[in-house]
Amino acid sequence: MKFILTVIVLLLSTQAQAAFRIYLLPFVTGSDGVLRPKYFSDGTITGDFKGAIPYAFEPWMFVGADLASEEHITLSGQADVFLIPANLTDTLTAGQVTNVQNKLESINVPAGWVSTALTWAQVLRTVFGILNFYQRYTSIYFSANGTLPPALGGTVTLNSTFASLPLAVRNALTATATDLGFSTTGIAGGTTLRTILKLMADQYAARAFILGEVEL
Amino acid sequence: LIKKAVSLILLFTQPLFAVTSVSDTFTGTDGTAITAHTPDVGGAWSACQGASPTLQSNRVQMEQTAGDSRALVGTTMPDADYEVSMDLIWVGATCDAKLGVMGRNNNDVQCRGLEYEAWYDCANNRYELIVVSGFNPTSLGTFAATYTQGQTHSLKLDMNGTTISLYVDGTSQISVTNSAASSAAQAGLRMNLVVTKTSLVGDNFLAQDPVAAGAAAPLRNGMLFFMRR
Repeated sequence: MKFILTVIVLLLSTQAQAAFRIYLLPFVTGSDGVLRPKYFSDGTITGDFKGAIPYAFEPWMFVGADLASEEHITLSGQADVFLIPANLTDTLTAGQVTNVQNKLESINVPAGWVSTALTWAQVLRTVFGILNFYQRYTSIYFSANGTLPPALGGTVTLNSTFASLPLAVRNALTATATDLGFSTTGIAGGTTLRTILKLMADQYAARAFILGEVEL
Repeated sequence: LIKKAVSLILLFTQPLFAVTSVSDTFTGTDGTAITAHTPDVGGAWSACQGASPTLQSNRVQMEQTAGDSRALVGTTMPDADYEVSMDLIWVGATCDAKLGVMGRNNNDVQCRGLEYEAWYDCANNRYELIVVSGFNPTSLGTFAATYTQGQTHSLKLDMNGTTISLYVDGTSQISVTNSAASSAAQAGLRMNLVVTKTSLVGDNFLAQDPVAAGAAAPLRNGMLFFMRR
């Protein structure tokens, strides 16, 4: 009887540890040419990812997965994986704000707006807005020019002003805003790309973002 | 009596006012290229990448050896919110193919410029949802399902605004917000083959708006109301 109870407790314990979590990690190109999240592509993680929100072709994506506890520990222990806390309704601590800002800025996502007044869900909503705007921008840029837009961090950076951006980039940014029904009010020649991306993300307003089992 | 009861249940649990733009049961002479075959509903097929799939035993079978192939139906979907589905029949004792459907395909070069794809990859025992933008495919999620000879499963790609979902046998398994492709464009077939083309085949292709905007949809108690997706 004691053995059976122990097994039940262990099973319940294992189930409790498995939970849907959000990870930020790089993507890699598979042998079939498909971009997939690192570690899910090389056999390190065998579980599924239930959803991914890529930053277009900037080489990072948010991934939602309900992994076995061992795989969750393995994945979250990787140096280039950033784990989002399970409770998205918590506000960020000062230390978390610094970590999030550093991480997002390092992957060319503007992050000066992140503060201790925001919950993780609010932070993710704005970030997902930036990523989704950038996905649409990339498609529109490609459609107009036949090439992918310049990667961030090269000739185009978050601190580039609108006036300094190549004409094709400017055209694609405004076309994307129009396509999504967003206002371009607030964009002037001196407005930086980081400000533009935040302005656009804010206009997703009440639109829901879905990442696997999470809806924000 | 049982068949009648089942029919009635199906009638009242399916959207009565779905707008079917394309359907194909792939009925025809074995070996016929689908480009020479007329879908039950919708415009003619075009093989925009690789060899045209063919009809075999009133199913569709890929023909492009060792590589990717795509086929589009010549019907532009009426609006961007629609679903594309197909039955996948796991025929072979072993399988090394991938087979599925595409939506919002803008028919760029080889129709692989901008689109969403949902397919089953039997070599890796998983379904996968993919966005293709600028000729680059990015995985949006996977769902494990071990290949078992003799099974049939329904695969559906659902595109509703920026919510893109993959359904298996009527259950959503992958769902994400993605903004890359927003125009209705076209639906089609997506295939990849290594060796054994007969191992994985398709049937009952359907592209439809399950409940058209403003159309009446049934409640289970038989009352009607008007809704938008």
